[in-house]
Amino acid sequence: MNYQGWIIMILSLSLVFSLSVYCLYHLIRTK
Amino acid sequence: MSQPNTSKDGWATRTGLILAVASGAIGLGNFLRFPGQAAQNGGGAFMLPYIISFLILGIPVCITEWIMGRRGGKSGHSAPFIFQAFLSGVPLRISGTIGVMIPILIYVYYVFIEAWCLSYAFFFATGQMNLSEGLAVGSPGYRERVVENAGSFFEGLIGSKYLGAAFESDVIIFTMVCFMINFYLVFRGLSRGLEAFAKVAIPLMLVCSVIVLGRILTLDGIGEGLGAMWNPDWSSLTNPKVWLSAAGQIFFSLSTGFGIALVFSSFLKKKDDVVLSSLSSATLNEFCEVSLGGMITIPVAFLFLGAAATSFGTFGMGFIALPSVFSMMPAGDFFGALWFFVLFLAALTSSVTMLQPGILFLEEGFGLSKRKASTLLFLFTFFLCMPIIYFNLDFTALDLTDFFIGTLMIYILATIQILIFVWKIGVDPGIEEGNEGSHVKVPAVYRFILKYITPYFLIIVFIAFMFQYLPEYIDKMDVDMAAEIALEKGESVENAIIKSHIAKYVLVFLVFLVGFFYWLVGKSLDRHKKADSL
Repeated sequence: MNYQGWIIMILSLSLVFSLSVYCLYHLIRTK
Repeated sequence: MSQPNTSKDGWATRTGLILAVASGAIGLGNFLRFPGQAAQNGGGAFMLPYIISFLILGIPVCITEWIMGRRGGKSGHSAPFIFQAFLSGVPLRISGTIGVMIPILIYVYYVFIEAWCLSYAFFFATGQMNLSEGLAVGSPGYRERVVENAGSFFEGLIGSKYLGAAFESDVIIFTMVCFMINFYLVFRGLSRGLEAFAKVAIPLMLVCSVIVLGRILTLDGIGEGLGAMWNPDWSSLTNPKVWLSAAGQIFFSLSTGFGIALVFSSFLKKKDDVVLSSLSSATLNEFCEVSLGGMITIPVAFLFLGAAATSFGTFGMGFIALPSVFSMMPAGDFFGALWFFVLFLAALTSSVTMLQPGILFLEEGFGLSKRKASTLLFLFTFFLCMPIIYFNLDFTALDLTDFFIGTLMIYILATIQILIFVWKIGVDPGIEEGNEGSHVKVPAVYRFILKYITPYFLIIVFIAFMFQYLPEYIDKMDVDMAAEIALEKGESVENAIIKSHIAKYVLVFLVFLVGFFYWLVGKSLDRHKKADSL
């Protein structure tokens, strides 16, 4: 995989992980 | 306003509801369709239109669906009664008809595909998947022979070679098993059935996929496989088809337009959260799609099959390419069984959610008990599933039904929903209402996006999608054209003519079903109007 592929993969994964953490944080906080 | 016999069912916990909605959205599209679409449409570059579509189409449509469901829940929990809060007369009957019909008719063919996943999981687990038997590893044409064997196995199992072939295959038993499991879960009700099942099935699915992912990421040379999925081809972004595919993928993946989130959120009270819940279920779906679907399917298929791996369609990828890969992989039976078990769970959680709106409609609209409603729906869907299985010559009946119901109709329902929200409720009052009781607020930018971008974007995507695919499906019904195309491709003309006739009959039957559902919805609404006036 070339370096652009790595960057896009990491950015995409970071986006879904960040969104998941954001939702989880608020779900736990407001339980 | 007429009040139906509102179902006493409901959700035990907020987490249960989020998982139930997410389980409806997480399906084969996440694990098979997404990676295929990405690899064929610019690899990593596909993520740009994909993320933009998620932000301007996916999130707004999901949030509005939940807001409308919570408001419509005051007048009932099935599509016609939920829409009663916003519409009346013929528009109400049409929207109610589409809302009731979509999940039931998608279930009818989806349960058959679910049976394929269960069959593969069973055959891998019992060591009966011998696709490379008798072939020397590394011998000339080894890969091609394994793929050929996988193709023959798949065609034999699902009965796509001639009319009625599936009835001679084991798939019919697995279809029966899937029907039983689905109706057992539905019969237990929302909280004891679907909610309890989703709470176990989603974590189990995640654990099993992580095990498969772990194995795949430790294969030698997997970097090349990841490259096939993620290396960007920036020139593809100038092709409108790539943007259309990305919007379509977001739309189908989130199951927007199925009317399921609308029905499920109708059990919420005004003080209950909708914004965080809708965002959470959409995020869980995206998590499965990008971090599991995007990391498993194409990388492993490319590693074993080379560049040809990206040319398979969704079914070919799932049921020919990947079984071939598992057959060539060390401990392939175990990982193959685990992978197809993940697909089966993803399909099962989706199919169970598809049955709920139909059950609720029969309960509310006609005052039937859950037992009677479930039995009636079981018989109805089973009766409709049989022709799909019988006429599965090259997937003709399944493909046609999927196009007209699973594509065309869900676009129409999503458009109706978004237009009601924007023009009937109003974006500002609608968002204010959504923020009430919600644990996070709808970001201010979404007022602008919902007013000026989402409805037009949705309509443009819908028209472009129809322009691209509708002529192809109309051509399939033209006998002379079908025969001509078959001659050009060197395929059987006789089969082409049969498929063309099947396509016509399927369309006529679907039109009849639309009429039947319209009549049924009208009856249920009239029944409650009459009860009100007494």
